[in-house]
Parts: sequence; structure tokens; C-alpha cells
Amino acid sequence: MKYVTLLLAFIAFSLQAGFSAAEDNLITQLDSDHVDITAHFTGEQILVFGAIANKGDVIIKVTSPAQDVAMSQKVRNGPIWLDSGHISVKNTPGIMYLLSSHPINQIVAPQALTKYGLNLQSGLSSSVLEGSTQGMEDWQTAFLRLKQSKKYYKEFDNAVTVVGDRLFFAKLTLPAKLPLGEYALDTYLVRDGKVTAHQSSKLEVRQVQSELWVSNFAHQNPWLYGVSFTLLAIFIGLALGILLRRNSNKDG
Amino acid sequence: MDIFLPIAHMDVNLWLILFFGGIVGFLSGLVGVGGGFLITPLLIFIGVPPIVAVATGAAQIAGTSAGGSYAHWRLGNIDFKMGILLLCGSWLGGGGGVYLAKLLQASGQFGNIVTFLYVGLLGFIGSSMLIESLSAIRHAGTVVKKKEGGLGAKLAVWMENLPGQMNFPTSGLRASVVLIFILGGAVGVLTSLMGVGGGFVMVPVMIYMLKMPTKIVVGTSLFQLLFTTAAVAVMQAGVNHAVDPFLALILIFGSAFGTQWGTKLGMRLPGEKLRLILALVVVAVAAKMLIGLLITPHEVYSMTRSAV
Repeated sequence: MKYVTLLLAFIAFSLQAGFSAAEDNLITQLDSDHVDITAHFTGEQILVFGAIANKGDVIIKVTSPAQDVAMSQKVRNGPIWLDSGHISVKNTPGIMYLLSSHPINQIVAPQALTKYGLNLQSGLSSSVLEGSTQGMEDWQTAFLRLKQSKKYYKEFDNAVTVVGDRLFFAKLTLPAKLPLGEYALDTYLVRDGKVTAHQSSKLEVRQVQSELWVSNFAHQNPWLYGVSFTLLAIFIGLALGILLRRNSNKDG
Repeated sequence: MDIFLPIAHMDVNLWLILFFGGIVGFLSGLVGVGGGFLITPLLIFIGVPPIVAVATGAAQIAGTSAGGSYAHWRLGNIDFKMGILLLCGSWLGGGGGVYLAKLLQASGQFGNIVTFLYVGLLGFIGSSMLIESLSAIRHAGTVVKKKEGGLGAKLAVWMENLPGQMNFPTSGLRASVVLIFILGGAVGVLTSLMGVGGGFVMVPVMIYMLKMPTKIVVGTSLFQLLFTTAAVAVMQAGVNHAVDPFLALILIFGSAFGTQWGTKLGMRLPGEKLRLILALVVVAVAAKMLIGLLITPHEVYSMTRSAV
């Protein structure tokens, strides 16, 4: 129901707005500019919608803040498999989704793909690999393969619906395991293989209430947190032990 | 019912975690091992980052062994004198082990050495216990003749001649303080390297080297685990920010129930059957790690998020 109302409001808005037909243009809106992570958070759906001035395809790229990951490689030594290579990959988005109205490589020319970072390989575009001097390409391929197999990097073909060459909408499904921070949400209008318009939006993923408090406490006063939580854990374990024992003695 | 974990940063099923806690608690009450070797792989399996799994496991075992220690204290199963002496040794050894771990980490061989330690040590301890407990069950009732002048007897003589002999009335034995310190220290080093509470290594040491009664071993091991894992949990929270409070609390609740059942069952079972159960668990873990070394991995590369 919420989505329908929003869409109706937007249709009215976009008809009045009246883009100049000569210039390609695009407006994007999210039904919420933040995601609140609480104890009951199990993922969220966000509606991305907007208007386009001319006929074309729409691509939405969502990237989470950059993070560092550690990678290792197993190598066969005789009959056994051992860890024998470690590197760290710095400055790559934790999550990257590409939503489009048609498969991206069918609607965008190869040069534009690289220029605007409209492929999953762009996750590595500003990365720094540390710890190994050889086999860099193998590590990069493995990085992208692992990111995709864990569904952190994913292309969603046909996930954007374009209505009457004027409006578009897409449902962005976010999983429970979300990195925190400010996400970039870029929308591209594509025609004849070229990107003709682009708009950036932001989406804030944040912890709230007790989760935020716990996480802040654990990161800002780690030793105090460690001592007090360990004491609490021992106390609760002890209390439960005494309580359960007393009950079972009564039963016996 | 799903719940979001603020430090592990993911959602988990509440009932599944309670169930995991229950299994670990049951084993802990039954044979006196903390279960770190079991809970860490289970958590990693459902997607908890490894560092959070190790750290939260330590906090959980501190809570669980507090309840378990209480139950065994009421049953008179803790040899405090022995426990505290072993603990002093294992704290010293543990401190040294942390530096050793740091050196090995720098050389890039840490992961492999840990795996070899697990397979070699657990395989050896587990299979010796398995043989011993099986033969004890078979010969139950009949007096087993001890070989004269064998290696065991020589070791016993050597141990009796060590300085600092002391009486341990709860365990009903006499042993050297120096020996207990050394054994505790060796277990401490292994604990730091293997990232487990050490019940695994400590229980066989107490049964076979110190010759303590199996039931007293279980209680004393839990008592000692409480202090070892509490120290580890504090350090993991302080250095790595990796203890997830919600995850740990759910596990503690689950294991509190498991521990009660385990302790009760442990009271009814004879010592050699308890040793057999522990031996089977140890052998199973060693076999699982050995298989992991031998089979061709599905994916040779792996990726983990660096510590936050």
C-alpha cells in the first residue's frame, strides 16, 4: 500500500515537473534514506523510484563503504593441503549491487561499462593488494569469485521496471549482514549504449538503540567492556547453575 | 525466531544457538571439557566471523564453567589445591605461548602449526585414551597386573623423587609441586597456540600423569577452565573487540541446561565410560581435521573480513 501511494504521488509530480524533452534527465528517490539495524533486523526492502525524461534503460548501483579483507590460499604439499599464501585486499566495497532494466552488457557499450564502473570488476578499481608480489591476477579473480559466491557482489538483471518510458522503480533487497555506514546509490540513464544522465543518492545504514550502545561500548572502551561482560557472563552462568540445581533437587 | 548480533554483525536463529549451547554444556558437565573445540567450528559453520567465534566461545565457556564448577563443588568434586597450582602453571605457560604464537604468526606458519598440533596431539591423546578405557571396561572387576620395571613404573619412581612432594587429600594422592607446575605450564602453552580452554589436554594429563580419580578431574578441570577462559575473554574483548554479548548470553543459557544433564549423567556413569566418551569425541575432532588436510578443497582461496 505504501508503495502504491508513493508511486501515485510521484506520477503526479513528474507530470507537472515537465522535463525539457531535448535534454536527458533523471530524478531518483528512495522511500527511506536510512536503514536502522535493531535486534530484530533480518534484512530490509527499500523502494527506489524515479522519473526519466526520455526513453531509455535504468541502472542502479549500490555500494557499501570500503573495507579491508584478508585472503588466504591453500596449496597442495605432497598428500596434504596447507595454507601457503596470505594477502590483504584494502579499500574495496563490502557490498555492491547492480540493478538494471535489462542485462547490463546488452545495454551499455564496453567503454562506458569501465568508465562508469557498471560491472562487478569495478569493486577492485581502487583496491590495494598487499602481501604478495606474484599471481596478482589470480588473487583478483578469486576475490571477485568469492564476493559473488557469498552474494556480496551481485548483478540483478531486469530488477528495474520502467513504466511508460517515464517512470521507473526497483525493490532493493538488503540482507541481514550489512556493513554499517553511508552507502552510495547511483542511478544511470542509458540510451544507445551510452550513459546520458546520472544521479547520486545516499543511504545510511546505522545501528540504533541497545545495539548501537553495545557496539559503541565494545569499541570505545574495549577493556572495560571485556572485564564487565566477562564478569556478567560468569555471574549469569553461576546464577543459572544454582537456580537449575535447586529446581532439580526439589524435583528429586 | 531471528536475532541480530551487534558485534558479529549478522542475524542468527535463536533456537539454533540455544541448541548449540545445550550440546556444549552437556559435554562440559559430563567430561569436564569446555567445548571451545566444538563451539568455535559450529559458529564458523553458520557464518560467524572466525575471530568473533573464538572470542565469544571463550566468554561462553567462562559462563558455562562457572555454573558447572558450582554443581561439581556441591558434589565435592573439585580439588582446589590441585586446581590452583595447575592454574598458576598454565597462566605462566599461557603468557609465554602468546609470544610464541606471535612469532609463528610473523613467520606465516601459524595456521599450519595449529592444524598439525590438533591432528597430532588430539589423535595421540584420543587414541591412547580410547585403548585404555576400552581395556578398562573389558577388564572391569578383574585386577589388572602392572608390569614391573616398565616405562610407566620408571616414570612413577622418577615422579616420586621430584622435590616438593605435597599431599592432595581431595584427590587422595601425593605429588610434586614442581611436576604440577610443569604440566600446567605445558598445557598453558598449548592453550595459547590452539585457542581452546585446554580441558582437552588438561583432563588426560590429570587422569594419566597425576592419576587423579576421573570424577575429581572433571570438577577440577571445570574450575580451572573458568579462570583460563575468563582471562582469554577479557583479552579478546580488549584487543580484538570480538566478544558478541548477545551470542554469548544465548549460548550460556543453552549450555546451563545442558550442563545440569551432563553433570547428573556423569555421576551415574563409571569413570572408564566417561573416559571412553571423551576419547571418542577427541578422536572424532582429530579425524575431522585430518580429513580437512587430505581432501581437495572445493575452493582453494578463502576470504575473511579483517578485524574491525
